[in-house]
Amino acid sequence: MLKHQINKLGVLFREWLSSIKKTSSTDELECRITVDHSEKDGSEGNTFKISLFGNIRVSNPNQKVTAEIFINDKGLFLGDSQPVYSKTGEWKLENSEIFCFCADLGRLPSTETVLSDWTEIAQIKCDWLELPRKGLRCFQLLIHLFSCDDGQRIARTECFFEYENPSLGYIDKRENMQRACTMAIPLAFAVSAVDKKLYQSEIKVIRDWAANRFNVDDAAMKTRNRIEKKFHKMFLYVKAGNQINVQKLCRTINAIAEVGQRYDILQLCLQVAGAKGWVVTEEIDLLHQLGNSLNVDREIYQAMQEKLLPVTMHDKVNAISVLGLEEGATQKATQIVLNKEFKKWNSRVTNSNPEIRKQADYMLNLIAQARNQYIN
Amino acid sequence: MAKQKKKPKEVHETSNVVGIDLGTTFSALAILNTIGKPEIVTNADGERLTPSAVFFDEENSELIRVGIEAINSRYLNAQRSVRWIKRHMGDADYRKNIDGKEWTPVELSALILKKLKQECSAEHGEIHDVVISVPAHFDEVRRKATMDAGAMAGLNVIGIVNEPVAAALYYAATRPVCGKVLVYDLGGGTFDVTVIDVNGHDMNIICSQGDHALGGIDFDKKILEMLEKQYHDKYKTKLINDEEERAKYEDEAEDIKKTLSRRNSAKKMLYGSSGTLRVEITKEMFEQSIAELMSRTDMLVEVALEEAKLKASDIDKILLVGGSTRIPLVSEKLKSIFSKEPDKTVNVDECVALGAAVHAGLVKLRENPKSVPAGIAAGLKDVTLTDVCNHSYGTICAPIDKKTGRRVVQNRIILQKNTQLPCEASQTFYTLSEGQEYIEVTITQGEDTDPQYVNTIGIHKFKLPKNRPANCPIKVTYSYDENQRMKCAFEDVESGKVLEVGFSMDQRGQMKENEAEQKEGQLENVNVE
Repeated sequence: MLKHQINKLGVLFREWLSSIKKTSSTDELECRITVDHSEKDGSEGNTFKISLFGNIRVSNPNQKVTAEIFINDKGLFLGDSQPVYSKTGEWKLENSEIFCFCADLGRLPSTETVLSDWTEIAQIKCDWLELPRKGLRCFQLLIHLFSCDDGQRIARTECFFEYENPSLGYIDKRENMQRACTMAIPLAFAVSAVDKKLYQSEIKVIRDWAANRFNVDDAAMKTRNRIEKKFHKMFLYVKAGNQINVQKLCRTINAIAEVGQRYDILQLCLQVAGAKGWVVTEEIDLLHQLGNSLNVDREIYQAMQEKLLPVTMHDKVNAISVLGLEEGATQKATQIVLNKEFKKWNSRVTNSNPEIRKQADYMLNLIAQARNQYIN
Repeated sequence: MAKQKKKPKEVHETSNVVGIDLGTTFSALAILNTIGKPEIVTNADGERLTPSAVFFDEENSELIRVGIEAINSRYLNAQRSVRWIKRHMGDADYRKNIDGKEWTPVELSALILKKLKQECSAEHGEIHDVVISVPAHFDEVRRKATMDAGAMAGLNVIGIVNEPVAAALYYAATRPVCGKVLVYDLGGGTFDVTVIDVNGHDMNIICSQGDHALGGIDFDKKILEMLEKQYHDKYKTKLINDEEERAKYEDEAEDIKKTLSRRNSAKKMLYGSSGTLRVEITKEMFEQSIAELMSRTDMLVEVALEEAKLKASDIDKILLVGGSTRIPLVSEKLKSIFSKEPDKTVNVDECVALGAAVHAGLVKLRENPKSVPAGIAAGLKDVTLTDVCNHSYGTICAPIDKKTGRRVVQNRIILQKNTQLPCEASQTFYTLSEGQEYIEVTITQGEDTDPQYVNTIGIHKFKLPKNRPANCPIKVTYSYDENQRMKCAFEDVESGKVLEVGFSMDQRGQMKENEAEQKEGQLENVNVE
């Protein structure tokens, strides 16, 4: 019901917007922006074409003039303004990431230049822009004209336009990241609780991880309290023996989290499992499942597990899972995997870190046992 | 009948060309004769092999026994004896405390080398220039440690040669051979597989693989475990109660192993504290006990073939090196893999030292031909050897990971393992930030992309010009010479500024050159017998 009402309001707003499409100008100068949808070299890309119409007055003839062009996101209803950032690193305001395009208008021959028709002064590719949000938004185009000779502003003009951003904006991404972080907490608790025990060391890892990701400067006290409550609630929920639906959590995380963040979440789960100094079979099995569910590359998962949960920590070593073997694989396939693992660990036996040497020796013996069992 | 000790010959000046096999269990020294053929130099006991063992005399603290006397002395006081020190070469944490002095693996190895030097010099005159062999898989730290041990013993180490290569050199120098040769070197403590392309007297190494902790002493341990288990099963007590007993039963286990190379079973009497026990170890029991160890050799052979891009059927000859290849299971396995009998015509215990001497002659011919007597030069001149880089070498960088879009810290390999020597390779990297004033250049050795799993063998600060943007190119060039030594150059392309690193070692436990020279003086006063 609420969604329907918002949509209806949006339609009314757009109708109103198109009726005004007004320009605010100090010097009878108007601006407009048109969106050009083009295909170049097989790739799609939108381009904003910026045009001016009207009079430009300067103090002296032959003054060199530049235009500084800004774009702001005004939300759905011309609400709070959010800046548009430069994605490429070019075209940005000094000492900030805010997008600012400078267009050279050349030398104006007389003190008053009349643009009797819409004159294009710049083309801005949408790929250069980091917009705040996805979807249909209202934007403000703001242009300042400056004299290059004395740095004085000689004109200002603005207009409003709507544009449908097809990609997630930076605010969307930030919110998704926070949402994914929030979901990581119950996932980590699921790993901690899989052996029916919650260790303080495991809880500490989860708490520290959460504290690092919910920046105190960004979040209001209210948000921090909310997260703290969620953390505590999850702790009690798990402690009472309740099950967490890890598949559902993973599905949601996959939908909103980028690849790097999914790796971070999996890494948290691995760290939780290893926090107490050893790891049990149930944790290893669950972590494998999470690796698959979060669509983490198998080899990358194997490397993460080796590093964070070295085999010397396992209470019971499952050669198949530790070595990345597949049940039911052919002898040839198993031989290839074992040889690859052997080559890898053999190169680590002379590592300067004694823990890695110890792990390498252990793995070589394990691989030799597996070879005897599955090949010889 | 006891062997008589040889009387030392009159010392005279010669241009001796010497090679040393510094083994885990036995060492040997070979010298090139007047016509350039290598010969083993017997020790003072008349033996061709000297046990790599050291014993610090209890009554005379300045007397250190090396060789068979050290082996026998272990039964009296095992705490004062050292064996298998090669296994600890390059280990910065290993120390043997004797009478308050902490002996390092380098110093202990130097004692063995000193003994070999003394006894060869007594017969052939003073020796200076030597080549010492090392396992093919020895990394830069261990190679440098071996060179340092030689310097400490008063030797001028003119080269380090891989043991399988030395063996193949001797093999190719003494008989006609052509084609792909696989050298299977299973010694007392290490195992190497090297594939070589031999065409008459031209030898091109294709690839090497090795296991640092696989050799005869590991097989002996398996037999010892069986003896202990059998005794415990009978008496429910331990067979071995102190280190002296352990020393005794280690030798018994070795004896059993050697017997099983000739017979189907070996019998021994065990004299433990709870009673005696007659045990019989059969060949089948032994082979079963070492099955996992042999699996490791199988895998290394397969990995070596894969790296060489060869099939088993492409190998024309298999050369056996090292005493542990006498185990019948070794030949059986190789026959089943390659469908041919391995070559046993060279002496498996001596061919490495003999080949090291040949290599020493080649090095001297290359670097200072005038120092090599004409007769020796004539015997050597038509042997050419092309070796490969035994490890990968790289540097630490911070690229953007394609999958995550994030910057990661990574080891990037610049010189690939098994690249033919001499070799050189370059890659270009870029500075990360605006105004970056220096980069920390890290030289690594290892095969992993994860920096945690590679060894850092050098770190330097490279100062850059000021006030520059990010993404300035830095060209990194690594080169590796025939003597297995590496040079690294880091060039700031825009300014032309270059940082050259002539291989700087990790300081932990490893001596720099001047330290080795200083310590040589200390060992001169040490009496080695």
